[in-house]
Amino acid sequence: MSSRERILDAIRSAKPSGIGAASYHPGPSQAGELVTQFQSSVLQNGGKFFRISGVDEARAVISREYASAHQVVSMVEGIDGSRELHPEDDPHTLADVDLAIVHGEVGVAENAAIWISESRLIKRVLPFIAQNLAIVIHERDIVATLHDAYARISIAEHGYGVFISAPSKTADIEQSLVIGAHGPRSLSVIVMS
Amino acid sequence: MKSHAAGATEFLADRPRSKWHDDTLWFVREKRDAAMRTVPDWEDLRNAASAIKDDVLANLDKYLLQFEKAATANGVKVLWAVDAEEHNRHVLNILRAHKVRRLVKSKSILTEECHLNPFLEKNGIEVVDTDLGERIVQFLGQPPSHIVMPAIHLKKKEIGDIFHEKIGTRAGEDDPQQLTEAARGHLRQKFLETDAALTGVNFGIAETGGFVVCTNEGNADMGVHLAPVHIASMGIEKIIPRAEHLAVFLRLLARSATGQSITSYTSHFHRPAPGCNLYIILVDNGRSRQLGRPDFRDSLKCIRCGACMNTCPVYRRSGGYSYGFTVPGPIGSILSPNLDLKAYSSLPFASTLCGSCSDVCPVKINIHEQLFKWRQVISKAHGQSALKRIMMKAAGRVFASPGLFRLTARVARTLFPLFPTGLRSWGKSRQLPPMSKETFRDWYIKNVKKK
Repeated sequence: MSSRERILDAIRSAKPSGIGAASYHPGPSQAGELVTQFQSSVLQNGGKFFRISGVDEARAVISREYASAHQVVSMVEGIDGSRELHPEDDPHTLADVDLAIVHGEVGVAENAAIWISESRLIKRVLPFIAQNLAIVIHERDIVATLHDAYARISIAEHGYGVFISAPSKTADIEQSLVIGAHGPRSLSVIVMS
Repeated sequence: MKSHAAGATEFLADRPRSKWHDDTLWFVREKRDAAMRTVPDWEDLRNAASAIKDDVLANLDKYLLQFEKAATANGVKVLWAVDAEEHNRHVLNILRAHKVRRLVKSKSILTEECHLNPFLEKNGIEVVDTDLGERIVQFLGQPPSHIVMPAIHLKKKEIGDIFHEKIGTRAGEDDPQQLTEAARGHLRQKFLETDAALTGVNFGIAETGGFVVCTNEGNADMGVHLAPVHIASMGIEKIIPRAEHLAVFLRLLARSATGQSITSYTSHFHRPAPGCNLYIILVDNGRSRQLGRPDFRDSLKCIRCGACMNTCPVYRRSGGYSYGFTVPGPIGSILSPNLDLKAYSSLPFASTLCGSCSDVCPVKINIHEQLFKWRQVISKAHGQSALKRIMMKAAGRVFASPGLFRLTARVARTLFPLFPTGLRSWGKSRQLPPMSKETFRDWYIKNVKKK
């Protein structure tokens, strides 16, 4: 008998019966200023927050905040990087990227988690290997809770997708918080109205 | 095997360290409380999480098959492992098939449970743990002492010393910022050189065949996106039915673990990247046996947040190594007897049964009740020490007879304070509070009954 059959048989003879499917439908999310709540979540997580009205302003924020960034990869329309990224590129070539600018698809007010799918990244490693990360997200794409976010996205639509809520961080040495463990040393969240 | 009490004595020998450990984990517990209070439907979420897991346990075979079918359709190779040994062999076979000599790992308590690292190293594979805490304990040749904070038993000076020896930081450097920066450089090189990456799995989603991995450091993603081979090791109980259930568990997980609203990265894997290979190994290793124990099957609902450890008055003072099991603390003490009742027979007794673990558990496992039930199983199987048997029998007799109880209460309040401290293990680090002059019964008759 295969291991698969052995495990399934063992489960069948061990499992309890008479229990049905469960789900959770929270009441309507509390009304409140979603962007304000989102902002405070971003700041609490150690990110920087900017609220702007158009892509020109986004460009200005980025060139001000990341004046010393030389290698810049931008996935956001209207914001130019210093180099192009192609699907056939070896991900290792991204090791010298100073700044990645990506487009956030859904933002969650309660925890600042921002959904980004593979289709917006070209290379999955981009928002991790870059020394700094900027996410541009539209105000209308901010929802209250993770329940609302999962209702808006389809997690299996692309091969990979990620909620990013903060810069890379660790507290593994005596619980001292250090920003910039392996991934980006900073995260700027830019909300466009 | 060493008893919990013996292990605890060793940890407690270093008083300042055990005090720091106690205070630090309690602080994490307080951060958890603060995070919980920001979620108005917290108790509803706990109830929902527990009910979803009830469904998972009752239909585990169906959900695993659904998961396998969807994952296979997504181009993922699904393997099954009855036990740790088979899991380890699967990993080695995959690495050999792809001619891999170097493997980077993100945190996986399951691979600790399977003792994967020593097995791979014996077979010529270089294994690099990439979670900072795990890298630290790997340098020291130790297992993690906590499932979320692997190096919580260490002080920064010790970490500075091992970093000086292993990665050449300045002698005496113990600044967490500097040490983390050095580890960043060291591990970045490992990520860029690796041929394969292994991750754990926080949640597997039956309907989509995908899985979710949560980290703060981003180490899981750095590894898997730079390597052509990704292996995900997953305990069979990590299945959840639908994508929407992720919201329930993710709202609970990080808040319970560290007091964060969510981890920095919550990565969802469904298909291998173009030109890459993705494997999932589904591991039983005693889980189906635990499923067959009605009193203990709920332990399989655990999502490995570590909240029960942070709150436990015994864990906080005795440290993770005192348990001698991969998962320490209250949850480990109800999981481990399933694997080896004799070796782990002291663990269910390493508790005050205060119930704090059950109170903080995000999936509402009745941990302290299961601890009590394991005690009964263990006492039946292995008996108790002669002293404990005699004392329990005597206590039973005293409590059964009101007259004898009254007499004992009167005599004990005079005699007990006269006992030398050394004879009372309770008094090893505490003073006995002064005895009241009268018993509650005397007080009650005098003040209440007479009126």
